[in-house]
Amino acid sequence: MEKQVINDATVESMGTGTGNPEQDLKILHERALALSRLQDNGHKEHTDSLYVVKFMLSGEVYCIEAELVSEVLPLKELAVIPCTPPFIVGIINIRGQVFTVLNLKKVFNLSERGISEFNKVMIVCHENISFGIVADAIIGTQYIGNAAINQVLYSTKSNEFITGVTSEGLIVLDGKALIKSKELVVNQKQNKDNKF
Amino acid sequence: MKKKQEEFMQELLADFMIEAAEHHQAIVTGLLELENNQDRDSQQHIIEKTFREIHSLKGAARAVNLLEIEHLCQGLESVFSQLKQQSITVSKFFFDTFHSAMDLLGQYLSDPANQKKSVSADKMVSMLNEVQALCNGNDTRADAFAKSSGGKQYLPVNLSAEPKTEYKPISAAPQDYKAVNPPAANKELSEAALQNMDSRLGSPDIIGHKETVRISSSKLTDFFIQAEELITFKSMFGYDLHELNRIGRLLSNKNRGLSLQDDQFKMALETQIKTLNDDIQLLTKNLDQHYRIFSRTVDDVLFRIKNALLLPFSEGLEWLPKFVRDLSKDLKKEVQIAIEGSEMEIDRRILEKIKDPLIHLIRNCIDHGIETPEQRLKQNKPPAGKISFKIIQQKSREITIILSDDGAGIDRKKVIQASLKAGIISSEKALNMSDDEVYNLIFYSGISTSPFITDLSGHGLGLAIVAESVSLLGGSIKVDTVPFEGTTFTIILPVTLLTFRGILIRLGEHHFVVPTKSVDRAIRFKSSEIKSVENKDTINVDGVAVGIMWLSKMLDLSTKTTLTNRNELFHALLIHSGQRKIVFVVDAILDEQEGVIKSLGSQLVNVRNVSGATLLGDGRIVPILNTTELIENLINTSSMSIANNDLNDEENDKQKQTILVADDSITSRSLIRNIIESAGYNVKTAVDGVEAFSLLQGEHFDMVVTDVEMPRMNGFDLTTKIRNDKNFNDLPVILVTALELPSDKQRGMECGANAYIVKSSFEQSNLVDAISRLI
Repeated sequence: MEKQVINDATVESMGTGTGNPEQDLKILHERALALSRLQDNGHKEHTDSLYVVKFMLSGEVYCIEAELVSEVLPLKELAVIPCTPPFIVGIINIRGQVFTVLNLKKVFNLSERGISEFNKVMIVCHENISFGIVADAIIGTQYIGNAAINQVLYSTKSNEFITGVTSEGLIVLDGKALIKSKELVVNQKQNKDNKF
Repeated sequence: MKKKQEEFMQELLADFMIEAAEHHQAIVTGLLELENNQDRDSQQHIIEKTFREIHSLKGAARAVNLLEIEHLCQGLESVFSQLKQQSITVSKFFFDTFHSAMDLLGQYLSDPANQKKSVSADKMVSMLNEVQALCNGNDTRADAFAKSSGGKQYLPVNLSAEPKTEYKPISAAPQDYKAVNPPAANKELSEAALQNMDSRLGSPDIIGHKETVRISSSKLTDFFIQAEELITFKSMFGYDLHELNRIGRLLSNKNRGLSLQDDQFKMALETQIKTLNDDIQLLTKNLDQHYRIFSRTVDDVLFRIKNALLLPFSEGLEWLPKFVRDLSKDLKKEVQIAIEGSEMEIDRRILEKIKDPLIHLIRNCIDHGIETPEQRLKQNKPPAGKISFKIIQQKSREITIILSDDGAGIDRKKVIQASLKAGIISSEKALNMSDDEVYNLIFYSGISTSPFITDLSGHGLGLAIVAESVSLLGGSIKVDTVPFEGTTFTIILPVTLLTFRGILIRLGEHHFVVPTKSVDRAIRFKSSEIKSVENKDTINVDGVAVGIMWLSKMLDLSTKTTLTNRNELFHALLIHSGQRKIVFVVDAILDEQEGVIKSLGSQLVNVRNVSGATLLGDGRIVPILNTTELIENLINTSSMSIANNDLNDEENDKQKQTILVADDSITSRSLIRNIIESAGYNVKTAVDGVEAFSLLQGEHFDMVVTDVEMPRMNGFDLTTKIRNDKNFNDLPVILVTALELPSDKQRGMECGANAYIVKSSFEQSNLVDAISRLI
């Protein structure tokens, strides 16, 4: 995130060479100062806002902390694993590593009306747990202020994975809770039935 | 900074633990050797060796500031220093004290985090006192220690059972045994010994050791896993080669079939195709060569790394002599163990996993096999029983362990009685069984010949677990016994763990791998051969009725297995799990695969019927079926018969129309496929327009259902192409798309599509309606 800020600053200051070495040095010095300030601002921004990845699920826009998303890729080959609950789509191979792929629509009980495109997989990762989440589309990234996230008042099963909703209707997921949730882990030797 | 220092200390401590464990083991080994060796000269040699180990341990402990260990070692060291100078000799009391000192140290070392809790400093101090008393050695002292160490009774030294060990009072002045720090006199002694040792360090007996590097086993295992991944690349190469070959063949076939009108154009095209063909042939040749070289290198690397993971057996047997000593003492038996061939090398993972089975077998030997000294004397046997542990290598990739004792042997009658009771054999069968067959019954669970259930053995489960562990490692075990003379267990193990091999099968559009080791062979049968026995489908294989498992049904896959024709041929695998056999019906048997077993990802810890996944040459990932579990589940399922299903489908099938579905999204593809199939049509799928069009060339379809946005050739282009081909003028085309704009719809119609369905407002009935109207 900070990197991007710095890059912007560098691009902006391109082509301001004066030809006068002393003045150049002065400008450079000022820029250095400006840059260090910018970085400070960046830190500040980090504490009271959230950098998120936005994606579509059944016509609704969801988002998850960007720092939890390690990569986004098209869903091509997928192996279906029989005898698994519906929220498990299957497994995929990324550079020799196997990831389970989950369908959050089943977790959130969203309607299956319409054909899901499910063209994209986001790999989410936290504390050595990583898996894929299918999305109908990835919209992009953005900052949202923590203040802009309203708590969800009604209570549903899926609430434990949702931090809140912004005024624009963006649903903010609690990524860490989602990733760490034991309910989304299939262990058929221990408990025969899963919740979803 | 402070944090760094702490981290550094932590690292040092971790290194110390590894080093200390080695010294500890060496000291224990030295003590045991000393105990079993009566020869003066070699005793002196062992004392020297052990003395050095104690000294090194002391130094290492000092370096990480573990004062308790350092002091205890110092005490041990001074005793050894006197032993060396022969001012004292070894006694049973000496060994017992030293062994308990080593146990205490071992406890301390095995639990570094909680050392304070498990091993108090007090214990260390009182142990040190006991040790120091060895230097003084008078009987009253020995009694005093017995009391101070919590009532533990030591045999008085002069009653020692070993006639050869003598007890000599030593000349050194008595010391205050409560002192924590060893007295100066001892310190001097040890300093002197130290110098003596240092001067010997340069002696040639140290030279001649193989050069080694210490690598943590986890690093080496990581490295091994990485190397094992190379197998995947090998099969990827193989797949590329196969594809190139196919393209080459396709090109040369096309070349022959050309019939173009324009001669000049034809010539140019032919030349181009010829060049292309030559290029591809050259590339194929190169790739073929590279594939061979690469394959050999991969196999080589893997072989070497597997060898690097080999350890001499001795590394995994260090616990054995002490274990035998402790256990026989507890059971009041006398047992000697002789180990032979411990330099043989074996995969460290096998060595780790074989430890528990070995412990179990040796427990059995001592508990059931070897008799008490009194019983043995009655039978004219020497009072001390002998266990022989022999490791031999008869084949290059196989290790044989022969574990024998000269004890009571196994009683044939008792085994038969126990087996009859457990219902494993019938009484008629019992009469006709050979000795070999009878004795190997002990590997079944529920059989115990011991009338007493001790906490050690007698539950009748142990040997079954041993046999299972051995077979999991890819090995085998058998037993031979002569009543009153002894028992011999022979275990055969592979030197390295085997790479996974599996048979690739297809069920509908899904692929699975069945482990090769559970497959007997592939078979084919006609539906007319299916016989229903007790509401279960069976067929006759080699004169025996074997149950049939309709695999896709068992796995809850949507693909339907129906009997459409009495002469239809089924492909199947004959599977075995233990003694059970079963026939898995599949849609196709494709290939045999070599690969690495992978997990199913973090969210799938344990899945019914699936044990893992493996990668195919083209990068696809395929689940591995758990045959044992499948067979168990089948037995629990009451009815698995489809033979009762009517054969009426025969007529319907002839009229079934076939629809081609093209979509690049795998989920949409299978969803559409399922909807259309359940509406009663046959479905074939293609991943894009190009594949769809080439499928159309090859066979007859009654309709095309296609997505619009696809790579290579989109749905609009496909529709245009279909409409422009006079063969497909009347072929109905339905576009199913995410594009909702009226202009897109307009374009679809212009291309010549018969219907346009928007995905977001998609409902099953819409599609089925549209199909039934158009077909």
